[in-house]
Amino acid sequence: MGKMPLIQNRKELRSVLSSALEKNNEDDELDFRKKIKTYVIESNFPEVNASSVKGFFQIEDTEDQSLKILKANLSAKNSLRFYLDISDKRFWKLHSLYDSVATEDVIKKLVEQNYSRLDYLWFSSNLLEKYMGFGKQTGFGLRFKNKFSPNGNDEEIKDMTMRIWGGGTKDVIDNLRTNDRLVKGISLSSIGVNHSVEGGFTKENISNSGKFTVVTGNSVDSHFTIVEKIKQDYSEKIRQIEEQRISVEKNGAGLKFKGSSLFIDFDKPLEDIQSFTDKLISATNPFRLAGTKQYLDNNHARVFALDLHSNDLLNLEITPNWMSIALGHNSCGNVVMRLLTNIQTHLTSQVKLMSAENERII
Amino acid sequence: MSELSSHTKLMNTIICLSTRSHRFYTPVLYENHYELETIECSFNKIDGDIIDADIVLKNPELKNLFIMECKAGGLEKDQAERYSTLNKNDIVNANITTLGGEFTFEIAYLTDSENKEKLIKGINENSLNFPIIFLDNDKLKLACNSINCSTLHDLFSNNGGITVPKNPPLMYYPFGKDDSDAHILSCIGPVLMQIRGQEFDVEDLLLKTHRIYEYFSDAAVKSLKGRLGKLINDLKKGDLNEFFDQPKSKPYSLKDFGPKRFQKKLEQFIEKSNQNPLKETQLLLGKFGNLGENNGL
Repeated sequence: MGKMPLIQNRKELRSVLSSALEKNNEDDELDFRKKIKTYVIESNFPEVNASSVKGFFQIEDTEDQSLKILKANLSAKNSLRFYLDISDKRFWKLHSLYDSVATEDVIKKLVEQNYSRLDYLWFSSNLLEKYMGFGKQTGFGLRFKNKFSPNGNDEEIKDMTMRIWGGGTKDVIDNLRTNDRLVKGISLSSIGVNHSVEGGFTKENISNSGKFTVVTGNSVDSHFTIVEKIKQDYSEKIRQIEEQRISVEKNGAGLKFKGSSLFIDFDKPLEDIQSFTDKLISATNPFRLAGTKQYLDNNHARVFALDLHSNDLLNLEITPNWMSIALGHNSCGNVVMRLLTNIQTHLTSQVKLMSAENERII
Repeated sequence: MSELSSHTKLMNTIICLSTRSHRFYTPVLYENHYELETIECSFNKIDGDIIDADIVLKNPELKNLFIMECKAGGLEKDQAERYSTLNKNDIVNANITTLGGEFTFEIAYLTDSENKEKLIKGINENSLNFPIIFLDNDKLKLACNSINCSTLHDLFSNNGGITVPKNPPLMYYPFGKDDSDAHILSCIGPVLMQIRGQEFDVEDLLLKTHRIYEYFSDAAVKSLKGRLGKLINDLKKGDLNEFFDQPKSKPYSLKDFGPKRFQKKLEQFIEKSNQNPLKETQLLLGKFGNLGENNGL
């Protein structure tokens, strides 16, 4: 595995990625392992400096304050360097020219350790379908793995994976949804989009955890543009969610109560609230929550939770048909996206994120 | 299953009805322009007496202030006398409302079906005319006397009263001093995980669990601190001792532990508390009101 060339500014970053893109095109289009990859990572660090990331990692400066080098020292002999764009402090972009296996290992170690204050982006199926419209559809991947089906229910779809490359993918997805049994498993794990800008294009594979792989193309600007467009759309969703954080402020002689719960609606009633709740707060992936639970009756649980990604507090209520989420006044809204996307992948694809005013957010 | 205390349930029921916070409950009071002004509000009357009101709602359209006192027992004569002599000048002087200019106010007692008769008896024996509103399963209704504001009177009297959620959300008032150990521990458990590796006192916990703690009356603060201090001491001396460290500057210190083992141990402790609900803490509180001293305050 070759090293990534040293860079000092954005001009050099663009030049290195452009050269890599030319080389990219020589490889097999469907072999993603060696392609240019950009991971958008959600961060809760107010500032990014040498001490922001711990463990195997170091952050080094370049000439450009908003462009850093992330050094991953996985072993004495194996040190990898990635380009880290922090122009948006909340959403970092990590560019990699290494193969998928090495990069995924680093990203996992960086993001998934407890209290990392870093998280993936979580694109629910509805968002990925929206992002298909940012270019020409070139394919999609489905992944559904039911973690909450009661034992002995053989009628349920337990596991479903599918990958299709080609045009008209939206029609294929819509057709699959007409099947009553399959519809529950239509949870998109990735999409393919052919995106163009003036002077060129890129064919991108976008995963539901915020990984952008350049399959082929001739314009690194096209890659930068689609990553930025999607990041901005996601950022707006997070803003909408965080507007609902529960807080109280002094208002003259009284108090002003702000925020309200958010709701995830399940299309199909949850059969076993206790097992769902236990898995939700098991302090493991994918939900990354710990906490305490109370069963108000057989069909209603209350959870006081800690988000192990951000170390923030939140309250949940779980019923067979919906789950409410009340974020603390400083809590990171990405937990709502994590819950929504993973419920879609592991319980039922037909979920909606609703506001207290009964308006659909996602 | 840990039941909420009557006080916490009543408080959250009113909060839920007077804030737009939940999709599946109709906030009837809010829709009739009664909004939450403040809770656990303490102020001095001009004559020097202290009023500790549990909940204050305001209606900017009707220019009406609705003060509620939650009671999980009989009438406290001294308190009732203080309320009966409360006048508009006291409220203006204490600056407890954002309602400006001319406004009216009223006071009501709020209770549950178990304590309703005791409270009515106390009101009648003392020739008072405070309305009493009580929680009867899923209805909040007027038990005796009338409310001057016809909107409120009709809401609590017509159609069997206001329909309320069986399990109101606990966003602003998660627990009070009368709640079970199991319930309070459930609320503070995630906070203890959050502050692992740090020193803390009970105030730190209250600031993180009660969103309006900073605005609580001194009496409410004292009783909550006492209750919590005793509970943390129980944890420290008991089954969760391994997670506590030697503190240097604050009364308690937690080691930097991983979440899984702590969560498991805390769950076991809560389960044990659920099996023995009447712990020493509550018995002592019943006798002495609060346990602030020597409890990490």
